[in-house]
Amino acid sequence: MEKSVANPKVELALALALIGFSGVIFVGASGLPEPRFEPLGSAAVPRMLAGLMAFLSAIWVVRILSALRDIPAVPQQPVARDPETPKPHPGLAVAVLASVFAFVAVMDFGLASFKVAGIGFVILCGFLMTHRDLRKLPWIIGYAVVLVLACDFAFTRLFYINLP
Amino acid sequence: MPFFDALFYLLTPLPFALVFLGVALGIVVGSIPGLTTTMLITLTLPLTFFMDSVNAIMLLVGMYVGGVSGSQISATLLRMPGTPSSIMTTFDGYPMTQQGRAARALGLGITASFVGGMISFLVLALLAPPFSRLAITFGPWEYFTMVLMALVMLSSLSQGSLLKGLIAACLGMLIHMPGIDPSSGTPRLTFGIDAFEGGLSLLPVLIGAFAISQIIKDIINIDMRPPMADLAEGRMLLSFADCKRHSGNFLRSSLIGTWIGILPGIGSNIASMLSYSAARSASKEPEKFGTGHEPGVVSAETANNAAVGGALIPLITLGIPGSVVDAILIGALIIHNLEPGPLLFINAPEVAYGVIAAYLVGNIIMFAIMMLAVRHIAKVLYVPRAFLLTSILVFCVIGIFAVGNSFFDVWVMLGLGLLGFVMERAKMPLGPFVIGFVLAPIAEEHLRSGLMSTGGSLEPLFTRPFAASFLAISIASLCWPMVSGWIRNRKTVRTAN
Repeated sequence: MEKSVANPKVELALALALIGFSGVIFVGASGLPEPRFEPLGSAAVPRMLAGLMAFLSAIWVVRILSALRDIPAVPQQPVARDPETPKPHPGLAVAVLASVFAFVAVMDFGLASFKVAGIGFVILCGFLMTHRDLRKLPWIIGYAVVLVLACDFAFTRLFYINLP
Repeated sequence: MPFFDALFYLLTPLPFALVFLGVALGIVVGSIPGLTTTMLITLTLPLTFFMDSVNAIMLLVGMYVGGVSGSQISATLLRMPGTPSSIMTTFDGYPMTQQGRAARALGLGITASFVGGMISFLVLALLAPPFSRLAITFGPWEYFTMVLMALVMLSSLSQGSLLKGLIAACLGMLIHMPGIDPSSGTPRLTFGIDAFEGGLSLLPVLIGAFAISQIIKDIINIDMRPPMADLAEGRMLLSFADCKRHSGNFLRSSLIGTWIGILPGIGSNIASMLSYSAARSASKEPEKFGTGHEPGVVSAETANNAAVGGALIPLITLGIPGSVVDAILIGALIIHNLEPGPLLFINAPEVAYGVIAAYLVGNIIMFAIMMLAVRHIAKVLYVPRAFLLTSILVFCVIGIFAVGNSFFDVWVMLGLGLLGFVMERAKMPLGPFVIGFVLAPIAEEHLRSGLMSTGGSLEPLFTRPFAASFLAISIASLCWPMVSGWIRNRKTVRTAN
């Protein structure tokens, strides 16, 4: 069997979440009506799939746990970073994702129009992704205005779609 | 002949301009590491609502052809394949760039892509109509087992881990379950939430799983800056003698690529790997592969383009996707109220033959654009990521909102984006997930109608020749990774002893 190179904790969390999701599907399928006109009914396929997924995820959990047990308890030496490899920015990804959620929520709850929310979102994301470089801010503001107004024009005037 | 009707239609200004645009965009996006053809096609889908179905499909096929070919630019110049299909190109393309032969490497890759595409077109044009006539005789059991075969083969071959591939396929199929049950008309797994009654639409799932998860990865690695490569020196167009020298490799790699493309779920990356291995085995100088050897570039690029044409055969004849991009093209057909499968040739021949014609013309346009403009296209690799990624995020949000005028779809997209990112962190392949989502209704519908016709008996699975064959292939695909792993382990133990 192949050895996984993924983070075992992420794998374990996902496998357990999938088992939980299978349970939710089982609960949902239990309330569905029995088949009347056909042999299978509407609950059978979700039940089969949820059962299969739970079974496979359980095998995955067992494999991850046995792999975790095989890892020596001795603390590992930190791996030396290649100085030429750029540093990853997981925090930046979280911040940008949070701003995407905020951008959608603001429009969904009717707090701002697409033009206002969109310009704010592009400025915020651009600023974050350029590592808060103030010298680039005027360029980002200009770009945000052009991009959002162009999108608004294209969707409302060319495709006749009402944006929020 | 319907093919020539489709070809003449394609040569009129609007369809031609759309295929040209599709190929050009595909090349540009395919060349940028981190942006994929899948992402481009999924982002374009909402815009095709406003287009005629034939034009829309032609545009998307153009993007497909351009994307697979464009990915060789970054693979050759930066050792960063734009899409997985060009991984093998890096082995010899990048060493050629380091040796100052970047233009020659790109010239070889572009010509190889063109030849692979043309040979694969011939196979597509010759095989697709008879395949569709055969497929008309298929009943629900054949379709059900064919979907099963596609999912198992994709799970076992796509990214190495059969277990994770199968879990991903089950998850994709389960995500499709909420909504109104197609047989009884009653709500299913909606948990009292009205928005779930319409089910989860294809586009939010696709864009979430592929575009959003990819953007998250790209933001994490936002500081990756490619080094500049010199493309000013060297001639790109191959001479007749060059073409003659590589002719055997062209033909072998095209046939391997086309055949691999026809098999469901394997994709152009496996095609280029097999073709590269075959070229090395057939070579008199196998030790030169991986050091900037021209046949290495030729074999990889011929096969990955030929696989696109091969994968279009099951797509238009059976409605079964050969790869993730094909699954999205099936989604595009469904969105345009067309039924993918053998009846496409009868109900909408202009679309079925339009796909074939667009593939032919797309390859010719790809060759012209790449030969004339690759030196300029290569500059796109250096566009600032902050602007690019922010724009894509905005397009994702308003593109999805525009499709159903609903924020529910946007939230679904964001949720699926997070799920896709976590799945990739856990090394769980996204291909079986998306193909499971696309094929779930087909599998369920045919299983239920098959069981209704036999009064609940599964006997036709074993008595109908095609259904039994597809089932046997599924079981073999399921067992093969375990058997091969067992054989490998035995060999290792024997060697250790």
